[in-house]
Amino acid sequence: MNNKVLWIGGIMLGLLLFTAVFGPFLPFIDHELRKENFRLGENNEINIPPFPPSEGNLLGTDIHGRDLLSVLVVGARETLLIVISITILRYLIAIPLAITASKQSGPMYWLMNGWNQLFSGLPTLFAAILLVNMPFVLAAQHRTLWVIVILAVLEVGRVSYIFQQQAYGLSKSTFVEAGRSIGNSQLGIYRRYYFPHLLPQIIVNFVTDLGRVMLLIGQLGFFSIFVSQIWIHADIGLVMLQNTTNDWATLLADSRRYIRTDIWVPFYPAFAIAFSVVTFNLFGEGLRQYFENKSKSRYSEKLEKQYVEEMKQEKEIDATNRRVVDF
Amino acid sequence: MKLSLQLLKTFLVWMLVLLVVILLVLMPRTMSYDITSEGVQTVYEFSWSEYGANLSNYFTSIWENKSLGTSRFNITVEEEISRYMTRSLYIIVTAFLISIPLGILKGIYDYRKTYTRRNLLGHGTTWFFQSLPDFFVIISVQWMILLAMRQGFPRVPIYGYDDWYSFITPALMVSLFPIMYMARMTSSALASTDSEQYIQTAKAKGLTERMIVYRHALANCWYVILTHFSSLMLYILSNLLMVEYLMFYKGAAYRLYEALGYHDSSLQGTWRGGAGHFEAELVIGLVLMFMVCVLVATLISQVAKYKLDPRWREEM
Repeated sequence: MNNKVLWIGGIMLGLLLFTAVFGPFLPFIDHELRKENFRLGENNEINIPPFPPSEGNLLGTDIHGRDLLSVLVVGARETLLIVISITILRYLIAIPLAITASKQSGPMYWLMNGWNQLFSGLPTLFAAILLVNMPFVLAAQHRTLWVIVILAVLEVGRVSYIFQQQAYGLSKSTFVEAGRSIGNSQLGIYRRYYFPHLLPQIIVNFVTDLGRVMLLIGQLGFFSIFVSQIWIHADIGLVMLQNTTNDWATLLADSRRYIRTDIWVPFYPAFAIAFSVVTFNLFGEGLRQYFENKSKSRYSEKLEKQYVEEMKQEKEIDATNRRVVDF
Repeated sequence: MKLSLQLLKTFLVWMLVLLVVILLVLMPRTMSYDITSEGVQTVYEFSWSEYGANLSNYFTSIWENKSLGTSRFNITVEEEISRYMTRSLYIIVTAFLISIPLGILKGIYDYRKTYTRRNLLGHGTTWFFQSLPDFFVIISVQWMILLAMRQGFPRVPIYGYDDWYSFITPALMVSLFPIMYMARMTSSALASTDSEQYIQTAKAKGLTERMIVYRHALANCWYVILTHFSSLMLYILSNLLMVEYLMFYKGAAYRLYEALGYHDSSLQGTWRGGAGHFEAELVIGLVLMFMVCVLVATLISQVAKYKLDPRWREEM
């Protein structure tokens, strides 16, 4: 219970996961997401969506007249799935790259460093917009997959750099040298010496990166760039991209025109994203404290034992000295 | 390594990034659509000859016309840049100049309150504002200002881009996140000096805490703090895009977004296809401008490191 941050973060994360898994089955959720094209007012005037928050629609409705709370709850699963798959893919590429580049030289190191430098010259958001907008991505058969790969790859350099620096530090440490000198294979060194040290860091960074990805998806959503879109044929002879999922970011698309009039339309989806970003950050911070305390307490136990031993020895020396003086 | 060599290396990497951007932007973008009963099939065939033509056209036109090209309104890219970039530069420069001193001061405050009850006010607020998505903060602030004005508060001109003071509100919003970032970096750099012997010595001598933080600890942290200038600029630019878009401030980031052709998005999250709206030359021009901002921030940090940290000078 000492680690309040971890508890609060854990409870918030539990809430998020509960919503994602069981949310659509809750009684007050309209999982079909029915659209309402108009509503009649008191004097029989026609009102068009978005409708403001009311008893029927706790958070109001979106621009199609769908209950915003239901849309958010139903969209939670897809949103989290997208975020998690991007982050997992990012780490699957970044961690092996970091470990193979840990010697701070060679082609893998150059690759990683170049990657990091290349994407650190432009804000991630700009690079993401530019890359997702590339013609071969727009026309690709599996566009969703492409977008997930691009968003994952964008920050591989940064993530990889963090762990490469740590692995490099480890490779200089005495215990790794000791491991090498007793005849561990390179793989064995990675598995038994690097990995246990890096794992807590990887977990913490992974969780906070979930927050970063969520943020990026939200930002892209404002600019009407979504993870999954299909091409459709519009009536007026135009070809259009249409969004195919209910994830939270898509609710933000073009919502800035409602900021001055119907603030709930952009506010609640933005709030949902903010809530999950804060959740991931809190949980990550809590985990960091947990791992830190764990290693600290292990270390302090060791120190305490050492101290007790030393005190014993000192007392013995004192005792013999006194005996000598007594003579 | 000499300072000039370091600067040259930074510049070369920067040129390389610019080249990659140019190569990406000038990739041929013509797509065709097959409309069948099952739906729309998009066809995109990459052709090297078209790509080569794009590239050579771009560079020869720069060489011959001494111009970066034209936008879709038949205005030269330079004119577009000078119109939009000046508006944005006010924000960028203000945000950069605000966030460095304020961020460092906040970081020092956070560090000094670490083991006191005000830790929540120090680290807590820094952490919280750094965690919140920028768009959420922007929307909330706008909502609050609008609500306040409805309650009879004096009207604050938060929208617009043509008055001399228009840049102030956006600049403040852009700098919020960078201030917190700077604060976090500063306090963690200060915390890492905690166990150093020269700090312990200073404490043992009975110096005031103020003296220790400002004269002893901070002097050693400049190196770490200055390293983050380029990331700071990146955060400012990415916030700039969000702020300009959500506050209807017609600056360079907003123009860049328009030039990318996505601004036609409609309510359904749809986008009219076709390459007609993509203004490749303007995209390159504006990205170049933003990259110059990042380059300037990096160069400032490298020169300042050289001036402020004697150890680093020796190392080089």
